[in-house]
Amino acid sequence: MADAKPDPAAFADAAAVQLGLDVDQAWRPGIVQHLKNFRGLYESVVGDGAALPDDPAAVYRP
Amino acid sequence: MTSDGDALALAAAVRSGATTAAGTLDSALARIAAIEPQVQAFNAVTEAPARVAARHLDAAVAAGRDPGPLAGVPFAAKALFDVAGLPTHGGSVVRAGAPPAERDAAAVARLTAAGAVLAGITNMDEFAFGFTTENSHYGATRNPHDAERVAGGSSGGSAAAVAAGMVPVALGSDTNGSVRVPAALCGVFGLKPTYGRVSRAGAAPLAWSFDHVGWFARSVRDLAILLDLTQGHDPRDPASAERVSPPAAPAVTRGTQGLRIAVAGGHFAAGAEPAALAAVAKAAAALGATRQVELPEVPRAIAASLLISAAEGASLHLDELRTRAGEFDPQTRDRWLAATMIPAAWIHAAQRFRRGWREAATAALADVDVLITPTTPFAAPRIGQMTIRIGAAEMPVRGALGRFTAPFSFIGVPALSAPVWLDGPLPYGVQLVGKPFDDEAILRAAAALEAAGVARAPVAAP
Repeated sequence: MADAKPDPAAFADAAAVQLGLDVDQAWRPGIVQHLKNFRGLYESVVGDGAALPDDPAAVYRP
Repeated sequence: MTSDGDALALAAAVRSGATTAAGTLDSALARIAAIEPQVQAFNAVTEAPARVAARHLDAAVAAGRDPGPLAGVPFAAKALFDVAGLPTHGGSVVRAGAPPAERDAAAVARLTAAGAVLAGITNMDEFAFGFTTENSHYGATRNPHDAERVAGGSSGGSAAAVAAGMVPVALGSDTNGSVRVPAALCGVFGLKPTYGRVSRAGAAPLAWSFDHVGWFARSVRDLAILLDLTQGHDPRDPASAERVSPPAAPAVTRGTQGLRIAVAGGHFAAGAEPAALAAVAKAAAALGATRQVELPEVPRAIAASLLISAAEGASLHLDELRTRAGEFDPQTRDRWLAATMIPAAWIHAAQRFRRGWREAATAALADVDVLITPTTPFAAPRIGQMTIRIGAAEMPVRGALGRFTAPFSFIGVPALSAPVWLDGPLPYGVQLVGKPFDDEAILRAAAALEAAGVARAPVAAP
């Protein structure tokens, strides 16, 4: 399973059920594309896998 | 130097009796009536209550009472601020039938308590989720300097109303750049104060940990007086800082002596039109800034910023997306829906990076008081334009507009956009970024640019 390719369409369908969203089929391609984009953002964030700080709480009060 | 007709000049005339609040309001309403059809900055003009407020102010002046530092100054507020008696629709038909707000948002209340007169509610991207104010429900706000171009967003109506001389100041909100981007595209000054310095109570949120109240003006001293009038702790806003900040207005006249000013390199010196970078160079030369500083890993910061803000907004609107998704703006509905599905692990990774990046950026700017960057990579694009070519790269317009502003909302530092003009007909924004709770430093630098004639916000004549 670890080598399985991400399937954002299947994920979107399952997530819509889980979240109680009534998704029009016409919106589905756009949702899938945005999920791919969000995955790309996440991959940018984790980058080369270097350790991230443990506690994110400090971000809220500059 | 201040622009003609700025808010403080208008207030001085009302306070001295040289003119009346009613007369000042008449002029603003006449200007709105004449120009609004071309600009489409307003969702509603609040003429009747404005006339009542103006009469009370004139009565106060006649009775020898202090009418307030902004006596008779007409202002506008983005459609996400609560205004007593009106539904807060946030640019969406989903909220158009909401019950009327029972009280004004904190920022609106503080300005009206200072004698300012609310003239109207301004157009915005739906729920502040955009950078162009091309709203499918309420129409596109047009740039007063070129009606074929966008005003920027999401606070585009407020920026356009100030640029067109309909009001001298207007409230907006800034999550990833929604004050600074339209300020740059419309050629006005726009301030996003330090996160927590100005209460957001009564302002509909987009992304809680990024949202700031901000505003537009045609002079730096107006930016500063609005900060002084709106800042301070407010228990109604959980992010409101408890620290007491000194008045900012006196700082505007102090010059830049002692300020350590640098130009941002790396990410901020690439991916922009040459003219946007030329505007930065012009401002840097005027401020005597020769040093260049590079912030680390800015693209990762932007990625984390976009992930978190999308997820926070989607969480906020989840119930409406369950029941009324079909009424959302078609331009952003699919993204909202997808954002509800972002895995929690991705968000927490982004939040963990956020903390680390804040520490890294703070360290990189430890000996810098003001950092200069472009506000946007290009001047106002055309209405409906989806992509733009910068060098060899084709960029999506909407995403690219925030590439220089989002990193600073991410960590809550103060930032403003100053309007700089080159040889062409459109303005460019130069972004000045400061340290947390030292908003005064960027106001001082902006005032120096204004005094040198490098930054100016002339009234557009659409």
